[in-house]
Amino acid sequence: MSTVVRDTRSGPKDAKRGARTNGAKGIDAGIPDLTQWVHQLRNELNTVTMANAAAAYGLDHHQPTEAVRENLRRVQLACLRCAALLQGFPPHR
Amino acid sequence: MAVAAPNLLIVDDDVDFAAATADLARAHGFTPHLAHSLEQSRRFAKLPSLDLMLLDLSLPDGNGLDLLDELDLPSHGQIAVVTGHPSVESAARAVSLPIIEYLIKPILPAQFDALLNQAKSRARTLAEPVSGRNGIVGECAAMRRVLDDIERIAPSPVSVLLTGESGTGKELVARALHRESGRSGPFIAVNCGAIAPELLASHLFGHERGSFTGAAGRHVGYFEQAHQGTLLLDEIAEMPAALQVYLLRVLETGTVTRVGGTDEVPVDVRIVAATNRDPLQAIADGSLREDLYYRLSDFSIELPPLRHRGNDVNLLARCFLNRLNERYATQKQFASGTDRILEQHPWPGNVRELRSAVQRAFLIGREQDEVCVIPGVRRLAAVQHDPTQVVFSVGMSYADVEREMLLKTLSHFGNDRTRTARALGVSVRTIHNQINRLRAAGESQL
Repeated sequence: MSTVVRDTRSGPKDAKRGARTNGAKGIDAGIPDLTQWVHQLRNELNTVTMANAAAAYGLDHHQPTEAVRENLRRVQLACLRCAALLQGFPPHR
Repeated sequence: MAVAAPNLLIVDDDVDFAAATADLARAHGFTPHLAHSLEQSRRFAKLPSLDLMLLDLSLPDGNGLDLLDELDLPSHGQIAVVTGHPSVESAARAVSLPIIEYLIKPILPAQFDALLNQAKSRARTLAEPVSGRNGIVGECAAMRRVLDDIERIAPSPVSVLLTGESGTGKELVARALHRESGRSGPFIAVNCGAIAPELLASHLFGHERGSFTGAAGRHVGYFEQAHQGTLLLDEIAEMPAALQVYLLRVLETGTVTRVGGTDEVPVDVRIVAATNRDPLQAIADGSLREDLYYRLSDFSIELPPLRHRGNDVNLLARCFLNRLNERYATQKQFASGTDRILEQHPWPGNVRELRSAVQRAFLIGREQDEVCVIPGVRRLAAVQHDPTQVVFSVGMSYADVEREMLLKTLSHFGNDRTRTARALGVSVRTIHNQINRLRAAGESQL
């Protein structure tokens, strides 16, 4: 059975634009300079690592599926945003 | 008694990161609180306790560090900056604040675990009363070894040599050895360096009536007074060499002969000797006899300096504060960031210096004040030794800072007031006025 991941706050559409509605840092979407680009990438990787750790902990400790799924969803969305950022490299003004 | 879960405040506008981190923290027994802006963070200012705060710097409504200027954070809260936008400026500002870590995103789960464990350990420590074993507070590995040694050797009659810097607690250890020994006699402490050498023999071994001018009656010395108890011979290397020979004989025979007497009086005394010098160095320079050293050091205990005892400095400080609160029926607490100040100071006077610093801070503060420990009474001496540097310590008055700056700069420019004024960015008249003020105050270097 496949799991449908839905995001009610930010989603692939945002990710493809390389923008964040979730945790916006006041950086304009789509055209960050290098500093902003690195900053955004750090934030996304940060979410990936921590959400991944939370999901892994949940799996190891048999936490409710919903909690694990929620963290995996965070990983997935952050990865999508990372991918979008990487597509936009090199960044430009 | 159940201990409340430690509190974690996550201040980060990245909602997913904050939520995932909160999940992990919850799994580690923390109660997480989330704030995504400075405005939201202010709501948590009145938390009864805050054990750890993860603080992002780039928030929608300002810089995270500004929060620290506004919030009255509970005194024991630890703060870790977690930023995706590191800079020299923010790192420099963080150094001046009570921040334990400056982490760059992405942080690793292991780093986060370490922060949680540290905060949890500190929260648990703070929740427990500071008691210590045998009246000795200390949890570092070196002190645990000392405490284990005390319990192991106290019941035996062996002599013990205590070494360690001044203020490390040698007498406290000697008292603990006596308490744990089960010996029925008293504990008597003698500072061999504080008694005139010509009187020391009489004090230690006693004297008979008429044995010397002024010996109006028989005097029972410390050895006899400590019969079936423990005698601490502090600063043993200060004892005159001739007396060390006699002491060795007493230790070998278990009898003393009073000054001017002939009878040998049997004594059952457990000897604990102490010195703040390196005993081998003392032997090398002739102040301690080698044969006495070997007799005294059936067992040696070296007490670590406070600067090598890690978190013990905080435990001890809290212990001293608790005692003061009890004595004066107050409930003062240490100000935020005290841990960091205490851990950074080298404490050359060791526990004695710490106790004085806490007491000074306690007495200076008013009834409801937090206690702000300002260590470093010796700071001026350190500053004056280096002619090329002006070092400011927290707690220095503006007058001291100004004086140091002026004296060092004047000295650097060979007392040329014009060049000094130019270097300091003030007028020559200002320099003249400052010099006159210092002279009027009795400054000897001008």
